[in-house]
Amino acid sequence: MDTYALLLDYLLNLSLIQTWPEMQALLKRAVAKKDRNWELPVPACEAVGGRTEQAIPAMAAIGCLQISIILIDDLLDSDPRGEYHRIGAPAAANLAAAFQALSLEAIAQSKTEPAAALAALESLNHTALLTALGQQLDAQNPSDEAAYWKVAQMKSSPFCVAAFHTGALLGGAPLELAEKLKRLGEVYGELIQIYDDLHDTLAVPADPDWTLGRSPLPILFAQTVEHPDKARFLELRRALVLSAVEGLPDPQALTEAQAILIRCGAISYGVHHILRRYEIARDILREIPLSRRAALEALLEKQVKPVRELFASLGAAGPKIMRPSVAELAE
Amino acid sequence: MSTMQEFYTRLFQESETDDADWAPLAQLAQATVSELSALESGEDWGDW
Repeated sequence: MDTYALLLDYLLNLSLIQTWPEMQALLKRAVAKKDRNWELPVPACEAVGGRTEQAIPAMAAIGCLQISIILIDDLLDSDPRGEYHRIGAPAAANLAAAFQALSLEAIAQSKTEPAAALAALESLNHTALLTALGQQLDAQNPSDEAAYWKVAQMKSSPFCVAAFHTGALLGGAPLELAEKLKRLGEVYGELIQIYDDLHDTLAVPADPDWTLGRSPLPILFAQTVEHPDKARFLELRRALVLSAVEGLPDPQALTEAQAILIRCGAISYGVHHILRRYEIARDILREIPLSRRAALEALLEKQVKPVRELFASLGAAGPKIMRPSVAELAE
Repeated sequence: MSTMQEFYTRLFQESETDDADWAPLAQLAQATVSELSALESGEDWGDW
């Protein structure tokens, strides 16, 4: 049985979910997606010497928390892919609250040692609180870079902090060691957010980030920095919002706006920040005394691999951080 | 000067000197949307 089947089995056996068929149905559909972010507790569990099976309640808790976050996020973003279109906003809101509770229940009902379980519960609860605050700040549409990073740190990092922290705790790590993995989660969460922003702004057709006038990192860059296409970019932004209001998509405006994003260095800026986060995360990981760090190292490498492939496809070596050191070449 | 503005200035100045860190990033600024598709495999928050 794979880990997703194990976590589904684990959650469906919790009494909290057994009286709510819609909750079970949504859970089954979400598990079937095998979202890789649900697996984040596993390498942390293994890094401290735990077995994969020990991480199942942490995976379950993180998965439920993500379902809760996405149900709310889609409502806030009026996302056309949102579950609320199918079940209605009241049901989506109630299910979001229920999945947040189920996340805590997944840890509370596990056979984790009490001190570790309490620390994991605090971590998940803290994440739920910070994410809500991050969503609230995001809804006010950050208008400068400082506000953008504050939102990213509130809205995106806490999820990965809880994932690594709970994974390590359930793997049997001493509390102090598990605590050290939180910093890695903070940086990893920012990495995921930057990729998310790059994907959303380069997506076709226009993502809600364009049509709702939001400011993910590349768009914020293009509308903040003084560059020759700035006035035209702002004009295209307004056109894309208006086209969405009128229900008349404007693919030409999107193509032109995306070309400006690339040309003005906004995408380069995102890649620069991916590489910075990768470098910081690697340094953090080196400092943590872990018995088996390979899985976490592999996770970081996997996140930087698309950038390596991008530079390779352009025939470029990539910035220095991407090149192996003399010591690494000798290994 | 903001961090973004400073980045922009250095991106288009330092790349002219073939700086090992800046030149590749400046090269990205000449790519097309389809050439950037390699970035799609980076893990994000997904959707479902």
